[in-house]
Amino acid sequence: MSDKPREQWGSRIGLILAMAGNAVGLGNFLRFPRQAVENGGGTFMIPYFVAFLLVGIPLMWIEWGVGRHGGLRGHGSVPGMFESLWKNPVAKYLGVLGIFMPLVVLIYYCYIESWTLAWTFFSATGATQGLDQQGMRSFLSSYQNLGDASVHSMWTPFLFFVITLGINIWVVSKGLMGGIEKLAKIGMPILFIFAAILVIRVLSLPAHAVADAVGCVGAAAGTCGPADGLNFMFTPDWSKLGNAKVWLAAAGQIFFTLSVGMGSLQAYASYLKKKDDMTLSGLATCATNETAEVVLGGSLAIPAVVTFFGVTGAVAISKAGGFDLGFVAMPLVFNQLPGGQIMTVAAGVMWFGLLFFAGITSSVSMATPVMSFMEENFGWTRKQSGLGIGALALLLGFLHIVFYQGGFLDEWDYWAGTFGLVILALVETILFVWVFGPENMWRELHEGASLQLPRFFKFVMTYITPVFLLVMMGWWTVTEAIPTLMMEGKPESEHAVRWASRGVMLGILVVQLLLIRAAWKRRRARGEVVA
Amino acid sequence: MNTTALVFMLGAWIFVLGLTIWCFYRLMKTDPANEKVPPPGSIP
Repeated sequence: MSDKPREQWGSRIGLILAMAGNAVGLGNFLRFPRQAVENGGGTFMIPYFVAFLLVGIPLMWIEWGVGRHGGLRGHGSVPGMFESLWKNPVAKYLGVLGIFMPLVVLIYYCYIESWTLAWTFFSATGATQGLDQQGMRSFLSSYQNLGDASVHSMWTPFLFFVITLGINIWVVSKGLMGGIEKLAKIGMPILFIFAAILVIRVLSLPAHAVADAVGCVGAAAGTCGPADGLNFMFTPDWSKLGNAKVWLAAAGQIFFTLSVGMGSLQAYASYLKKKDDMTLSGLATCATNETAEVVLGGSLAIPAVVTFFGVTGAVAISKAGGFDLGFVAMPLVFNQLPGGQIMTVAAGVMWFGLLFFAGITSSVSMATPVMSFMEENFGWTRKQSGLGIGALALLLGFLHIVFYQGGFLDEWDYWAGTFGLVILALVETILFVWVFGPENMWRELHEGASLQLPRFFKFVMTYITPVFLLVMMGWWTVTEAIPTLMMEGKPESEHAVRWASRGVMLGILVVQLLLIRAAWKRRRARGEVVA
Repeated sequence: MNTTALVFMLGAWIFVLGLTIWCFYRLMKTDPANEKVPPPGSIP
């Protein structure tokens, strides 16, 4: 543990905006609307809010609690935090997940984030204007596939990735108050303002003639409008309510949207003071994220796409994936907005700008746990750890750019960005609630609290949340993890790249385990009491 | 927009917006920066 005094948040609003910025990401605007329409529309909101209350909010409080408890003992990353909860030599090694996942996700997330920066630039320069659906799809696939130089030079994705990574490293190198907090205070209001303007514009659109208007109120006249999009998003399909898959999809969405199980919320919370509030601030973080997701994310992409492509077109686009929705369909919508070229440019810049801010406020949080780990255990300065992580992300990020089409990124996204999150969440819940003890957990959460939590939540955190997580993990293991491991449905041509991708991930994990071992050796040599 | 969809949408919006507004109202009320410190010498 470093002897240097730990940094602290400058203000409570800065902390909440940074935490909310961590949570609000691309998924709020691209993943949530797709999940809702694919899982029963309005009916999806029932399991969604149940999961929010039983898993999302409790996990948010647990992560704040784990983070502050560890931070007060000088630990800014999960290995040390786990050891402070459980005096067992195994604890620190379990905590490797809390530095492995944020690092792995940071690397590929920065690459996706760089697309939003690139598309902000393309929108501003009018590069996507006048393209039809096929043209827009080629525009995206040429960017994703280095072998296809029909639209973009092969250097374009590298350039935007390097710029995006550079901005990230610059922000985190400036420190907590001067970098991360400042970014959140600027980026989050911009994100909300851009999103609110776009929502007003989309919802005030007139009905539009579409090729297939089935499912729209104006079907007889062959037109669809934004209200049809909202109908499509929110009309309940009661038959889905009894479907376990829908409940697990809702729980999964809550999980991803709040960025729990990653290690980054804990790292932010480690900078809290002993008497800082966690209960109300944690709840405010969850609520802010939900506003961005349900009110703004739910009123943007789907109503806009239904207005110009009809319900049938929106279903096809939604099935093609979140990137098609965000990077193909939305620019096509902007090309057709009333108001001419200026409106097309403004809407494109605002849409991709808000996605960029949603992305960067999340990615800087992912860099924090690994940087804290290196600073506290190996005496690195903020700048050194920033540059170190930047160099590694640059090197491994290039692999994502080169092998994107072979499924390199998909593997990282599944194992670290999806399945790994549930494992970390389950482990930390067991350690904080069961090993540390429910009474200690409850006392820790209420130290300096501005809000006394109903005791119902103690019961939820002790029994319901861990069971919910266990069921989710079991279900995902059977339905997704095993088929993904066996590469079911993946073409033979991708197998080599996918195995190489797993090999690199495994290499990172092994190196981090060795670093934990070396760090604890150093601590022992310094005479610190360690498990 | 049909009534059921409207009910679900408004229900979801009211829940999240209500929660957000309530949280920030409570945060402002309990913000240590807003605490009124008694004038010097007024506490015996």
